[in-house]
Amino acid sequence: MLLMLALACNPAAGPAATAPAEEEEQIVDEDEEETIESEEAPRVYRLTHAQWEHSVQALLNLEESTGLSSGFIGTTMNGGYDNNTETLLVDAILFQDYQRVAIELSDQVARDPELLAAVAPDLSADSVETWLEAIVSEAWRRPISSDELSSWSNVFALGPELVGSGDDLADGVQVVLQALLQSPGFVYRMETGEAGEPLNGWEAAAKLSYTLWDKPPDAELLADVDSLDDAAVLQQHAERMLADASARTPLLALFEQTLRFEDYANIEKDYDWETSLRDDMRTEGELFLTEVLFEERGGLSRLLTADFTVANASLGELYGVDGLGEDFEKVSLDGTQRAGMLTLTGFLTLMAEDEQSNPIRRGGFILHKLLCIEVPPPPDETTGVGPMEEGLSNRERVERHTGEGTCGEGCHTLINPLGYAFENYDGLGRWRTVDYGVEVDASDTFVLDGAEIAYDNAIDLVGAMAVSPQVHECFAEHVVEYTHGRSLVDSDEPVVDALTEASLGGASVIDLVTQAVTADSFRVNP
Amino acid sequence: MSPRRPRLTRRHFLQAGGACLALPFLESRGRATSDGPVYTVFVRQGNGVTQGDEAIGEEDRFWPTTPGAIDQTILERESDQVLSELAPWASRMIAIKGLDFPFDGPFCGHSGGGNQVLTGAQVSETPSVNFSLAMGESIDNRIARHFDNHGGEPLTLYTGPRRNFLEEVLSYRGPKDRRAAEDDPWNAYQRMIGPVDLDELVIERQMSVNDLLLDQIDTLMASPKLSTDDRRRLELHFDSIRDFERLACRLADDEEQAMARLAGEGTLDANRITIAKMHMDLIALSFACDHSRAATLQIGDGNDGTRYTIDGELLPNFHWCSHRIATDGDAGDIIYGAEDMHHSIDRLMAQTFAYLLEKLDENGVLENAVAVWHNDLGNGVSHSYVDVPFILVGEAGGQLSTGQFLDYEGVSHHRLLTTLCQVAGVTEDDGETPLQHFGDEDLEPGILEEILA
Repeated sequence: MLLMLALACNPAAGPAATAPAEEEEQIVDEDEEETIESEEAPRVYRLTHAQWEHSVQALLNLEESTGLSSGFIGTTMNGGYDNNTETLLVDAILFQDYQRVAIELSDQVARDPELLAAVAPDLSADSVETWLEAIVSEAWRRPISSDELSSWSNVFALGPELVGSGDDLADGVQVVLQALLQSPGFVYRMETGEAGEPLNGWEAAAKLSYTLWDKPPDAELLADVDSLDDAAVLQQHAERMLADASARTPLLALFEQTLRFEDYANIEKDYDWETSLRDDMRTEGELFLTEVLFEERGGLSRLLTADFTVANASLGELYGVDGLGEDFEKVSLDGTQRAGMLTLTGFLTLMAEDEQSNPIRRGGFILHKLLCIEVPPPPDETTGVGPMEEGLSNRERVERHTGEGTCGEGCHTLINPLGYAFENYDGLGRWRTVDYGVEVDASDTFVLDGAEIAYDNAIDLVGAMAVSPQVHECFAEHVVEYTHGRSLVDSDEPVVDALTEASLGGASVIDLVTQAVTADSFRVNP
Repeated sequence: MSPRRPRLTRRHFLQAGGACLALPFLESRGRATSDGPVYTVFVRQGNGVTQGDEAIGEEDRFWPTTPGAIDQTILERESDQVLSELAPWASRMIAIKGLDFPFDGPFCGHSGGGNQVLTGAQVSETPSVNFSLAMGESIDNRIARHFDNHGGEPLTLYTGPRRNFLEEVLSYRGPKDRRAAEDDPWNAYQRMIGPVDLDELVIERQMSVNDLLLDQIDTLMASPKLSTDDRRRLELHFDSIRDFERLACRLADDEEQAMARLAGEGTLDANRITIAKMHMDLIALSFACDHSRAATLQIGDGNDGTRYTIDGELLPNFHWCSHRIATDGDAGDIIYGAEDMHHSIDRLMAQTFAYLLEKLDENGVLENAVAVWHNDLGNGVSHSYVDVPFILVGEAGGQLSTGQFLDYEGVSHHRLLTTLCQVAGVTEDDGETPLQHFGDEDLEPGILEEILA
């Protein structure tokens, strides 16, 4: 049961509902399918658009990235992370994008002496072969064969015919760059070795570097290319690279995608809402994560229980903290009211209605993303729970409709208790003790790691989660999926187990990532 | 120390003045004949329409009251109905009620509806539920690949959020092979017009490059170590390599600038309708220039949660309105007046569709086209798969019998898809026989005779 999203509750009758006996059988089938997420690990990984930008910048030796990938078609994601290779395709539209940009960039470089000198310094008729070998090897992140070199020499020689500017060397460079920027060796990272053998040094360097930095390998990494099949050498580089600022954006993205920061841009409320709070909340989330992950070198437990945030005056109002200015600063919070990333205003506001909390969304998110338990969506036939009225709390209204004895009981007895723990936070994440005239009741029970736990509120629940093997295991799965750039396969069980244990023991996120990228599942050909 | 690195001068190809070579927009292409090209566009609204629900006492506020001939006067008279918004187009319209989806959903009405509506295909068991996919190709793909315009690719556009949940749902190259949709009109336009300096020599150069790329991918694919999925992805890449095509005509300067100003903001709720209209400008341009033969535009994500602003009033999340309660799930506050809000969103969608019709008509394309405004559910409250509305406008070169409202009372909608394939000129492999069937192979073949002239 390790590597699966369990389908937790029996879906109520929906449009596809079948007879009870068949239904039971169907659920069993789905369980089996979910256990084996994929039988074969992939060996071909297309660059993400961020990786493409950094690779072009490095290849052309530019001061800044080109920014041209902002015009590329996006990815049809299906619930995974944006670097999952199974969704990274080169379809006709993206090919057109690569093609257009390659034509533009190669033309621009060949016609501008400064750009040309940056990519092909001191090029002369005698040094063409040397240049070709260097530029193609850099683009393809591996040495090239003599056949490949002669093929590229032919491409270079077509320059005068296919460009005809009168500058034959520049024309050769132009055609080569145009082709190189679209070439499969550039847009894909490959793992070509025998199954069970460590990746060769070139492939290991590229994999490590794109995973940790979204960049092609740097000179230090390539200096050790002959020994990167050694896990200890790989680890030294992983540690070096994770300590560098280049590691921040890619690692933050793991959390930003899990916590859906992208969605903050669409939050709209008609209750005490300022649209500037969208950016404020996103900034807060990023700064909080940066502080815990990189400044404190904290782990999952710290992310779940930290009693501070990084806020400005607008957010300070929501937290009831005075004296803040326009700039963001680290602020201590009342540890009886706030604990970590799940009590930040952004999460609580996204998972809410205008004025009110939404325990079902909050609980559903925690179940899915922090416990890795999948619940089916609600039945299509739904009815309202009735208006807010004085003397009836939000929890009581929700419970009346989805609690025991109702048709929503099956799933909501799993979802609701986790959400109720956050009833002390209203639709903007503000602390409250009274809801519509009723004292807030945020207490409940939940089965975690096979045993029932009781909690009084979110602080209690989050505290229990911070020491729960189930929660750490779910996080370990996310880390493996993201660092490996693919869905989990059965053979990932050892690395997930190892990361789970380390995380439970207090390992930092940075240490977990180090462990993930030096594991056999990462460094050995599948 | 590395040498000083240069900065790239970014060329903004189409900024005001300078390099922009806007050609006049196309003149009318003249009277249509059924032999000429036919253009097909699908505009999808989500969450069903306010066409009544007996279970909760709601009445139909969408359709004309009686099936049969319709004209402007008839639709205008029934001003309480959504279709009155399209009264000026009545004589060029076929409003089709009574079409149902053939397959059940995967416990999620939205993903099952979106995946079936243009494919007539079953919905996948794995991935499942909200992440399920269609098990067959979509009609826009079928039409586009029958013709070689734009390399046989349909134009696939979207305006909705990117939240990794029920995003684009319409266009499929084949089973479980969903096509990414462009959410930014400016990107789509840049892609259409290509690089500025695209002369014959550049095209020749790229053709040589393409040969080299094909050769290189071939070499990669020879490796026996690839997984099945690696191979599938490389094959798609191989098949996607094609010579550069560019649109022969351009938008006007002011239209380009308006589009450029919203670059990167296509996913924001506040821009939903503005972006939809820009996408429509592109569809009209693409058809007028015979760039592509088929297009889709999806307005809103799978369960469109946009907060639309109508008459200055910010409405609740559309999906919630369609449920009549304030939640995506099954329990939330009752939204009082939700049916009216849903109705006003239906009208907004009708008005937006009318914008596309105007654009197509301005350029003489509409008489050679069929523009379809449709939903991927019948009714919002129950997420039903019956009475999914399809509103067709345009003569398709005189092939359609317009000016009528039909109620099929429960026919599988794949027959409409087959009919539209035939109207678009899609044939069997012999190149002559009109396509006999579109959709899942177990469905009974057939067309909707009544809509043909």
